[in-house]
Amino acid sequence: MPEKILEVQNLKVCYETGRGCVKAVDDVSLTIFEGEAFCLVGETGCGKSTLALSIPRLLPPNSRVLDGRILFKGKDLLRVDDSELQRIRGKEMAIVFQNPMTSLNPAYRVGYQVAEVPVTHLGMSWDKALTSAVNQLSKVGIPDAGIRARDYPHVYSGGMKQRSMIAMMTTCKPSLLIADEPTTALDVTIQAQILKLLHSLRVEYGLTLLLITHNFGIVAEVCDRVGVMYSGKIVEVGEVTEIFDNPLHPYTRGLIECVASRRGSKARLNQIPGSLPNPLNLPSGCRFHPRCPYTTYLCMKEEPTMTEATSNHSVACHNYKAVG
Amino acid sequence: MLTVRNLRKYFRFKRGLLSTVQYIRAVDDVSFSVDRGVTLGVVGESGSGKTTLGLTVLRLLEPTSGEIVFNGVDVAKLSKKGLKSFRRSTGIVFQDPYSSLNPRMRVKEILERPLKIHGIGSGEASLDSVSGVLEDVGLGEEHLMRYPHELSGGQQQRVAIARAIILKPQLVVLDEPTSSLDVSVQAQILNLLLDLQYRYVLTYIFITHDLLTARHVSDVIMVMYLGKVVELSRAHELFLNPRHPYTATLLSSIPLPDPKLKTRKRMEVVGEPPSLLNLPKGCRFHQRCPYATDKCRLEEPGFTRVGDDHLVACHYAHELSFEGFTLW
Repeated sequence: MPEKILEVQNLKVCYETGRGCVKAVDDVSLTIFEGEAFCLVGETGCGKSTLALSIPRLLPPNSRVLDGRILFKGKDLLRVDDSELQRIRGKEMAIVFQNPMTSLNPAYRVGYQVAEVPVTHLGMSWDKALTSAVNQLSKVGIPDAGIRARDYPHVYSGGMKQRSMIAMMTTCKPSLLIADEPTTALDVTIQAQILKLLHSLRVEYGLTLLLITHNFGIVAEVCDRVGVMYSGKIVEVGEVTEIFDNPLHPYTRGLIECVASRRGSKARLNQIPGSLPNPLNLPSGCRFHPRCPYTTYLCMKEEPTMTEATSNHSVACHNYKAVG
Repeated sequence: MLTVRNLRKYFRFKRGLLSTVQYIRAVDDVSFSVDRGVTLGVVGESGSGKTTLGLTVLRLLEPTSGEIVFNGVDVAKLSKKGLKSFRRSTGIVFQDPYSSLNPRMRVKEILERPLKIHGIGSGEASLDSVSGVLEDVGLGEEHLMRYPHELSGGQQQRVAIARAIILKPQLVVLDEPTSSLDVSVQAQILNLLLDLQYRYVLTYIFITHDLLTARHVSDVIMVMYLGKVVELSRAHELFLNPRHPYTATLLSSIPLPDPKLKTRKRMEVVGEPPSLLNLPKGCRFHQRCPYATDKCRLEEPGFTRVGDDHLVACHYAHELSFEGFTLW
């Protein structure tokens, strides 16, 4: 059994809004093992990004962690002091965001921004760091890296910006890389290039990947294990082939079936009726029950807990035996 | 029903001290035709000109040159008055439903607007058609008095669709109608669009960057790259037997929702598309094409017919087969 690198236990995060406290992540537990690629998948507002951001403590000021622990290599990140946190971020754990346009500082040259990382974390001299930045940039596939390192971010294309973000985030060879929808803003051919790059970096550095996405295609392509989120909860966790071949939660099943697939055309897609629940007014019992074809009386009354269906597949559904 | 010939849309702009005039050739010599009740899928990456094409076909943008023949009339030459009756038989749905609905109008007013402009019905009669169309798109009377911000994204898109079809148009341009929606809502909207097409025999021009969606809804697919059509074929045939290297790489780039296909041998594409301001000579894809030869660098390819209704703009359309790759 590989080592646990990250363990999230009973995490609860809420946002203060004018109309009350919205629980974006509600009692979520999750374990990620060293070297694996774990995907969090779900629709808008399901809390996947909030969960990801809470790991390096990058949540916005109007949020509050109500409860829980985030153990990274045995240390509780929610309780370490700021200087320790600074040391971990960027060096042992790194994050790549959805929008590369806003992640880079427009006022500094790209090479400088990449070089800053080893200067800060490894105490490297600027001269050496700038040279290594060029190497790093060419490694992620920036053509003429020596020249392009002196460019400002605005002259880069979206794909190149995301490549340089990845270069920056992997200079210190972190053990965990969190990627929050890293390819959503990019075209398909560029997306395929970036996914391939992430894969080769994983192989080379042995890094663990936590990928957040809403695209089931990317899940299938990249991940070893998957966690499906709905309305602030993880509803199903399992190995990727298990999730696709034998989804046990009606929501997972619905999502997989409603993706336009390789099958025939112009047929009706299976659709999940209704829309996502309002986080200020969540349904009673199981949060998915108003949209679920398997709803029973129990689902309206009682919230299901995570149950282990097989050794590598857990689900939070009262009726998973009927679904599977 | 709709035939477009040699359509061009260039955007002119000036740059630099000497104000040299440059042109962005957003749509460059595009020809196609669509029959009644058929869906033409237009796919391509950003900057391929697919949105400009959609807008120009409806003359929401003035074409630089070319013909747009709709039911025997050249729309490109229509006067203002003639254009109004053309507008009545067309509709459009945009990507972002919220920004395409007036935030200060109620759903009822939004939907009555087209009726008023075209002087159709009034009072009771127009309310009847508004309720009718709302029901068609799966909304009810309770939504009539709401403002767009009180609706979910999926409901907003339903209103936008209702507005596009309230005049019973023949041609509807759908510009990425599901791209900003969540997966579970996307399926609902796609189903709705297919139902409406069946019921009212609508002709769709469906613009999307998502190839799986395009395959799902389209009868015919047109692949665009940097303002040019590179391949035009029946949807089924295109996916089964792509002949342009760009189409093949596009198909190969789709992340497929099936873990068993993770290790398929793909066709990869190098680099990124060049700037529209600085288009390469010859075939526009040659810098990224693994099969490019000197001919491709010098000579722009015309269309080669490789099968019934299957056109490819590649010098080597007959030779290339992409064997050994599992494209998708």
